[in-house]
Amino acid sequence: MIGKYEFNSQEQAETKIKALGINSHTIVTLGNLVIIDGAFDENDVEITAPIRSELYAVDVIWRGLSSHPYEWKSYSITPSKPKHSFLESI
Amino acid sequence: MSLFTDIKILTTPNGIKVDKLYSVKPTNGDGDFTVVRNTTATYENSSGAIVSAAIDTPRLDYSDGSCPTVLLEPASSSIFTNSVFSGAVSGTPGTRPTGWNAHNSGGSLTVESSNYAAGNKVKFSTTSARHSYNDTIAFDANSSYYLSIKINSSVAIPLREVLYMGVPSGATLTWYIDGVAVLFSDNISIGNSEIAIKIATTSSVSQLVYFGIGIYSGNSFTAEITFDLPQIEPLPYRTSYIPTTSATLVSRALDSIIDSGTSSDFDSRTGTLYLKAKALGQSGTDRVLSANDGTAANSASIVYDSVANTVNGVYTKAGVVIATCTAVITDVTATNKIAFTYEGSSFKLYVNGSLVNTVSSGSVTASNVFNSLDSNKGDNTLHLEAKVYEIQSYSKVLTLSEIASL
Repeated sequence: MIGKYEFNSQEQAETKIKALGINSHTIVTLGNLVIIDGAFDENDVEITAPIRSELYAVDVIWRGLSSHPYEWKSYSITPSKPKHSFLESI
Repeated sequence: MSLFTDIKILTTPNGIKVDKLYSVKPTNGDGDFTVVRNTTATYENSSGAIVSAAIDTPRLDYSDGSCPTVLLEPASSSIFTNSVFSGAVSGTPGTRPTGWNAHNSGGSLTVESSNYAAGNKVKFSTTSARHSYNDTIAFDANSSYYLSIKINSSVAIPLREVLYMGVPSGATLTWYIDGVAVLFSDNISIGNSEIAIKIATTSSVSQLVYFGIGIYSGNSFTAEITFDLPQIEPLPYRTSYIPTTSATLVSRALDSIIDSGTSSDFDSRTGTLYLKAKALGQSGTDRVLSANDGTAANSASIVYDSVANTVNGVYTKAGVVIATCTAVITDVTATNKIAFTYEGSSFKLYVNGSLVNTVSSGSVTASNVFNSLDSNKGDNTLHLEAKVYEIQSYSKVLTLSEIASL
């Protein structure tokens, strides 16, 4: 099962991940994703900085689980245009 | 009596199936490794093509020549989107790969079959300048990235004219040709090469990345250069190709081989652990092959240390490190034969047939404690990241001459 999550902060995400203990899941911390790209002029000088999400994104392949672990479900999301995916997974 | 008779566990890149890496010894199946990888992953087959291995299936990789290795990689992600160049169409000046911006002032684009069957190579042919493509890549703060691409050039040309990105504020860039650090101005070789930039950031930043001909100087060049298998990943070295077919980042899971052997295949009081392998790169963390009791508390381990080009033999009893034999070697990413022996209070580390460190300390644990051989510390941490040619385990201490013969 694959889960996508957005936490309020990096610290909150790290606490949730640490609480899982040693495991065989695949956890990808995407961080504050770029939601609008930056822009550059013809000399490659940045004229508009990228805009990043204030939420901290984490995607997980849950090995051996068929539902979200305790205290993860409320942070799960189903984006219409996901920024990240996995190669074919379990 | 030959050493082969004494080997308890012998594993080579040989028989595989989903979930399994077969060992040559023992023949009853007890020594077979269970393979765990939560995603598919690519590797180079014996024909040189980049193909995909199924979930939980070992990869016998031929990227280093005619002899395969068992490829054990960390998890990684490619942030080079649309890397299969699926939108590329042959023409003049050519339709750019999907998602990439054109910066053309002449020349043509040809599309060829990629070494990855589902992708395209793109070939720039030009007699003019700045015939290139670019995209904006977002890099996180305080991170290392490796941007790499396979090229084939008809002429020698400065690297910066072929692959280029500006230096983000506070970041450090190091340029590579075939894994060897070079100067920004060095010429790329004629023929097949992997060119790369290692990026170490101090703050989050977006940067334009270019590939093509005549990028940096704007000077005209007469050249044909083919680009294939581009990748940017948050690691200090390149791993296997992670195809990206859209604007979405894609991740691959790590490889793990575990649960080889039973207690009858080890003697935790007396033994030799042997690994012939190449480390994938210099990791910032220890990377371990261990005989253990299913935990990290009791184990005999061969370790690629987090310190550059350092290998260790480590014996742990009841959670306490009894002995650490250590040695600095020339290059952990070269093929090395590492052996660690343990008996009583004697612990020895051998590299490429030579005794490099001896430690007399403490004592080994009781017999019948070890029951598993794993590509980690015994607790599913510190996973081995290497190309593995051979793993051996003995319930006896091999002599110097025996180890030299391996």
